[in-house]
Amino acid sequence: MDKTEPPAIRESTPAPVSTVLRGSQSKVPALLFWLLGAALLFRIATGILGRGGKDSGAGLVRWQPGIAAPSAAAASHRPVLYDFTAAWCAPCHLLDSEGWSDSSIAALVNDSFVPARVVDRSREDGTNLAWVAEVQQRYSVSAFPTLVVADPSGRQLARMEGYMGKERLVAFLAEAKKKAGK
Amino acid sequence: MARRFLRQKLGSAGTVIALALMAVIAALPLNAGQGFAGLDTLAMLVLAAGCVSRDAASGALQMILSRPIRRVEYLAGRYVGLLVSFVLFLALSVLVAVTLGQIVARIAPGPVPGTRSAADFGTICAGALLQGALLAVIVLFFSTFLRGWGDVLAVAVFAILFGSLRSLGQALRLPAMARAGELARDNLSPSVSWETVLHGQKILGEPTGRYILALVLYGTLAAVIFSRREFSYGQD
Repeated sequence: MDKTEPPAIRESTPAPVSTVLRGSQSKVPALLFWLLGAALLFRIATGILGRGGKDSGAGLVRWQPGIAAPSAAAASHRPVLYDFTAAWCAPCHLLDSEGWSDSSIAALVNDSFVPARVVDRSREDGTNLAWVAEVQQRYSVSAFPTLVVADPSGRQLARMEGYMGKERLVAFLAEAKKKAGK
Repeated sequence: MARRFLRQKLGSAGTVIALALMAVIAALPLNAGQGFAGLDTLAMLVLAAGCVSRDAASGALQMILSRPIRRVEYLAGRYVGLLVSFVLFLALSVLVAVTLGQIVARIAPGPVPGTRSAADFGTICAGALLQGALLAVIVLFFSTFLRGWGDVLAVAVFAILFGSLRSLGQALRLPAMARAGELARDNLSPSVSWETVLHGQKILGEPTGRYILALVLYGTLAAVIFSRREFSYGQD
């Protein structure tokens, strides 16, 4: 008679359903968390770049710092195009996304004017920067968006209040360019 | 999973008719150079509504998860399906816009104002797709834990909440409240001027950073919540 013991059958307890799920189905790939970390770093980097002034303005127009616009206009013999705008103003956003993002309009502005954005922050911050208040007062700005074209000495040449579509914007810019003699 | 989503959406006559109608209506602002005039957002909401929650409610999700597939794969499949169906909507809109433009050009004498080039349409569609991708992941995130149409409702409520917080702060002259609303909107539901970015300008701008972070954050949160949820028959 064979005395050797049959191999012991090990009783294994089946894993609970929740464990099976956690192990196989419910695992979240680590790649997602790495991506999240990278996105966070990118967000911080773009935030720092934005504060450095490299992200000011809107669209394809190369906006100049508003406070230095008259001197830049005098140096380049071009009129200043002031864009009086505000963060809460919906037509201003339309002007940004439609008008200033149009490559032909942006080219016209960049070639013929010294473009400067004057952003009103009175609703958000309760007050405006001194130069913003001064320019708004000089051109009696009471609505947004308002576009003012002025010669380097500050004399108003043309003005448009509100945004009424691309065609009107192009007509206004052409008229202002003509008045400035460019 | 993406194919299953497409079968579900394209197999529903109501959804197809709604999307086709929106594509026809969108052709008008597209030809006028005004983009999709918000119809892309509406189309994405129609497509994304209940993308996970309805599967859970019908019991289909439990059947799918009884197969050896990872939950993240299911979610990714739904997301890819959403994007593919949205691309189909964009393509249909452009097709209708181009056809309408050609018909008008034949009927009307002289040059037709506002005729768009292929590059213009391409830029508009790429921008709409990128913005739609964010909206899709936000709805997907809410759909992992809300029931029925709760996902779309949550997106609408959040948009109203951010907007009203800002407006209320401005009306009450409370700059901190207005700023909080602005911050919430800019970071939780960021929008990017895609036309500018797609022209190679301001690619590394703050809005792009906000957009990418929001996209990945909502996606990761959706994956984590969905993988930890217990689904049982007759409860959702």
